[in-house]
Amino acid sequence: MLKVENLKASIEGKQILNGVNLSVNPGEIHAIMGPNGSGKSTLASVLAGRDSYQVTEGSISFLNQDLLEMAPEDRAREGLFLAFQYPVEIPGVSTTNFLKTAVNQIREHRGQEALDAVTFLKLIKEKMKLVEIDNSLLSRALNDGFSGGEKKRNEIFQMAVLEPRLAILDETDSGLDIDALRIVANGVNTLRNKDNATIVVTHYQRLLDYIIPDFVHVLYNGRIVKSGTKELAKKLEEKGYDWIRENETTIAG
Amino acid sequence: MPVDPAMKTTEQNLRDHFTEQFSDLTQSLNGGQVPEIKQLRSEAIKAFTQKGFPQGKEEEYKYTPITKALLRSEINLQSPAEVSMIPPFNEHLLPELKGHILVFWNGRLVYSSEDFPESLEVQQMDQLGADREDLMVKYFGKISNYKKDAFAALNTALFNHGSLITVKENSKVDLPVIIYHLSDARNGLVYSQTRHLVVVEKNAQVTLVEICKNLTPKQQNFHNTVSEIYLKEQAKLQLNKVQTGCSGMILVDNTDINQLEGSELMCNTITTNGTIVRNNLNITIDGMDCTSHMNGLYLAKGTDHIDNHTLVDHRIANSFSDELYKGIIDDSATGVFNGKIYVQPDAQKTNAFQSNKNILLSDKASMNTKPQLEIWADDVKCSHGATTGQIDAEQVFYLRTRGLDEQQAKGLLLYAFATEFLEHISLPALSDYLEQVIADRLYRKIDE
Ligand SMILES: Nc1ncnc2c1ncn2[C@@H]1O[C@H](COP(=O)(O)OP(=O)(O)OP(=O)(O)O)[C@@H](O)[C@H]1O
Ligand SMILES: [Mg+2]
Repeated sequence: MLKVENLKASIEGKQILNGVNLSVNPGEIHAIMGPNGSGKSTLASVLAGRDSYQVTEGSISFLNQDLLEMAPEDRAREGLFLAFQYPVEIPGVSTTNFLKTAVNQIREHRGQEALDAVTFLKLIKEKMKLVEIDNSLLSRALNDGFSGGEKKRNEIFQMAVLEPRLAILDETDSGLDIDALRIVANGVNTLRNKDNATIVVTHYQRLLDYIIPDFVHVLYNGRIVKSGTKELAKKLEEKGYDWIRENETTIAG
Repeated sequence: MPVDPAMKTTEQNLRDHFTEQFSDLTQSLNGGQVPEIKQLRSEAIKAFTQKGFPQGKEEEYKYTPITKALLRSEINLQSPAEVSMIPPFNEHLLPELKGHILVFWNGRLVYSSEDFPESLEVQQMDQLGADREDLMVKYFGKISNYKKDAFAALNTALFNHGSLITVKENSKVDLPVIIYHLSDARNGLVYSQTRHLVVVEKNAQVTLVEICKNLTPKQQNFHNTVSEIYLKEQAKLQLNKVQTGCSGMILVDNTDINQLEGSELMCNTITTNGTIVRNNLNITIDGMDCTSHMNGLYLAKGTDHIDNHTLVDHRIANSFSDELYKGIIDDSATGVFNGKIYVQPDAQKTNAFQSNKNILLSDKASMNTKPQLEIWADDVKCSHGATTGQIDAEQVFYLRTRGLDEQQAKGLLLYAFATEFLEHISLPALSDYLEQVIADRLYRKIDE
């Protein structure tokens, strides 16, 4: 479904991604871990199409299309979804308000009919239940004055409504209380099926107790330096990144 | 213009022209005029003759070259002819907006509702009853400053039409009073002036709507209007100025409002087009515990030029004023905002807030914004802020990652930015209309 090959990207002349390789198949859950500043959000942003990054080398194919040639909205319409590490505040625009346009754009792209107001509200209600989010939050200006946890929960709500093929959750667990974490994980697991895939970027093993990954990757200095199963996450939790750092230097040296 | 078309018209020509018009007018006005008003007119024309139209260096008009625009235009600056036949105007009114309606056509009253409630009295300036003389002497020309502003001077000297509106003590006028100013240049380019005086007596309440419209947007015209509004103790006024059909207009609106103790003002001004629109909104707070809200929205495109000058003069302690003006400037259009807040020595415990936010949509669009706080009291809370920028790229990106294309994302953001203005308008029919105007504008631009 997603194939990232030798991806190199820079911002303002500074190279951040140094040749990332990653392959994700339908039905899989991948976890990406790695120290602060290692490039996890950069990778997520490049996948979503943020144009402040320059891709200097490599390729990304998504559902057999050249992702790098596609506008962010076309990526979304094809089924890519990014839950932002830092969701943007948008005064004056409520979640319900812009999601209706979003849903219908995506439906149009798929050759489906636009949802009328009633059907859309039904969909919203159903997904609200799934992520246990309150209606009052959805009618407020998007992320404007939301608490950290509310913003994250709202991202997952949007994911639930848009039903992406590939969801990238960038530290969606950070800032969530224990109940919210369970709710978010439950949302992800419920939406999971054999046709879609999820990439979770996280610092904590805890989330991976709920969302059980098929693969765990360590992104370090802009490269995936280690991949393994969920056991790798446990090891990282215990030992931190130092042992990888040492490995990395030996490899580099 | 009365001058030889082969010659280049100068400001002096223009000035002489109006001075001459004044001497004609004094002959034509009959003896019915109150001596005090006559006196005021001649003082005003003197001030105007001396001062003339604002030119290059004049601080208050330095970003807004109205005089140049007037000289360039071929507007017929003769005193407008009497309306011999009432033109059909119904189609130009907002059908859903119900109220007590006054329609001015090229500066003259062509229609007035007749079903005014007992609490509301409306008379026309050129047909004032003898019972209104005291009121005129007491209020007319007292807050509009003809010494300071050439357009106010011109209006004071030469006005002939407009309404005197009073709302009786302890009463509430349920329906809004709606004043339409329609300009129609089909039979020649038009110049018009109107003059209104509004007195909202103690503990009375009313909503006013002023709608200005050019019926011949391809042809220029000049409208110079002055309103003086008095809010007596505990009076409440919502004033909505709707300048959404002003393409081709040179519009100068001087509105002076005086507030006494405990009065509440909500003033909403929206401008979506105009060759040059200049609003001078001056509020003097002469009582404790007053509230004054000023909201503005201007959407400028093409080569339009929209200028809002506001002044809140806190003279007495304990009052609250806040102001939010927002603008979206596109193409080679220009926006100007100047917001003055004065807090006089006696105005302790004043709370005064001001904010001006602008979005520029093109490299050639320009915005001049200048907040001016002058505070002579020490125990006050005041703040101001002005921002001018582009649409937030992060916000656009976020919405695009949800499947909205760039144009939709921008349209949605601009629409949200602009429609905050509508929250202050308490007339659903008016705010529905304005929402449509805003959506058409911002989404159509986006569709282009
Ligand atoms: N505009 C920029 N100019 C220069 N450097 C930048 C810019 N934006 C990001 N970076 C740098 O890119 C590197 C990678 O950042 P990124 O956000 O991808 O890290 P991350 O792995 O997501 O970290 P975290 O775990 O803290 O979220 C960091 O060193 C960051 O400072
Ligand atoms: Mg990050």
